[in-house]
Amino acid sequence: MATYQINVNGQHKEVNVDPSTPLLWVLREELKMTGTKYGCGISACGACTVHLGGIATRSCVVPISLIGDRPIVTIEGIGQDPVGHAVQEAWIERDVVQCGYCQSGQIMSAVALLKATPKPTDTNIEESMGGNLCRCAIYVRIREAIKSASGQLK
Amino acid sequence: MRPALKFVDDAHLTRRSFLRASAAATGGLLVSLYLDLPAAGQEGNQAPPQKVYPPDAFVHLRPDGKIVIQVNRLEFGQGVYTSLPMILADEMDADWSQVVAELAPAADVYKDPLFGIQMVGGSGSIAHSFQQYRELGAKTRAMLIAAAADRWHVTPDQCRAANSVVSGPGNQSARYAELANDAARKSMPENVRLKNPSEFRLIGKRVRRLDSPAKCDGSQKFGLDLELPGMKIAVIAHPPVFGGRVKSVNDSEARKIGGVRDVFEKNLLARRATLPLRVVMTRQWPGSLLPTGSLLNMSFRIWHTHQWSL
Repeated sequence: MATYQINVNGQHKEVNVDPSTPLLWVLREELKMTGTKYGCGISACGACTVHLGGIATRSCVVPISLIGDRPIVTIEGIGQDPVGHAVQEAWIERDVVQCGYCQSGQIMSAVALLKATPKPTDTNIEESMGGNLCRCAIYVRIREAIKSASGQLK
Repeated sequence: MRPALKFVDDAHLTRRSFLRASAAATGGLLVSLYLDLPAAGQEGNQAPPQKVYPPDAFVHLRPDGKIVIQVNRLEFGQGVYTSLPMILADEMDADWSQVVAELAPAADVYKDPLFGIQMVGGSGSIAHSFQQYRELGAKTRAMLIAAAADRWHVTPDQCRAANSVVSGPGNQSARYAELANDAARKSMPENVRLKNPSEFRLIGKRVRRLDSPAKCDGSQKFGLDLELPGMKIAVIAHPPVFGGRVKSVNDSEARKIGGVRDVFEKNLLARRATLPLRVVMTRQWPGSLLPTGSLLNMSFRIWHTHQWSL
């Protein structure tokens, strides 16, 4: 066990966990932030995506010992960000969700895409979002909502 | 008749069900479904007993105008969290912007009216509960109109309702929320006229899903997010092919992991077991990795029946 100081959604947190504990489980089990989902545990589905130092990251495979001082942003905090807010609004306006389980990861990946590429092409979207799986198969609406959010950004 | 209907419990169907209105302890009007005897004394204008909400209500018209509708099905993407409230709100002439959906708890009144069990599946949500939710909405509306008619000393058929407002023949108007307490004292009408489909305002129209906001900000709770005092979590080590069985396990390493309480073999189905090993733990991490990792040192016997050749 070791003690780590981390910054989650702008708030300082201290956790005492085994150094190998993935960030996902620190968020879910230590900090009780269950918005970030466990899907596969092997970085294959994208449900656990968070922003680590501004980069979309699969939290299920990043041990807490490698976080350092990079700030963490999760689905619970992304609405504070103007791009995050625009994506959430577009998601609601376009009725993107169905069951919703993969949505935290989808939204985090979409926000990261729009921050890097404010006017993404279909190819940009497919390449950036391809690692986020959705069993409800709402990919078409995800693409529409990303374009809609893009249009709302200045 | 479809084979699925064999699931119907005859006793359930022959029992009469009743809708009943009551005042909510927190204020407002509750419309509930009762499966057994109607309450004696419910007729007339005496004050009905106050009820704790839910457990059996379908509609709660709150003093602030919000209309909380219980959804008797699980929402897993098919849209019932929105569509069933739409059906009720349409017949109720409710202001859709004030509708709040809630997942109903486990209770007899929330059973599928046809299957007789509380379940979702078989594309039955709308097919089986369309009439149910329409009647709930229409009867709630009728009580609110009756309350308004009493207040204005007119007959109910002189009144109209739209967008959570009842209008009278002399330009009177009252919001549903204002009428809720009076409506809670009205007896539930036995029969009401349902809308002609040409009168539908919500059914068949596009509205935004009610479950979107919570699914877009991480606040929606899924099964995995449930936490109860003392809860244990079990994961299952699946064999790599259908029909496989455990040949050997060495769980000594797995048991050293903090939080792992037990590892045991358990055949769920005597003859076709495909789920042979369970790990019970107090936390999801790191035990959740055990079934896919090498810590269990499992080997499987996959040729235990002759039917399959791979």
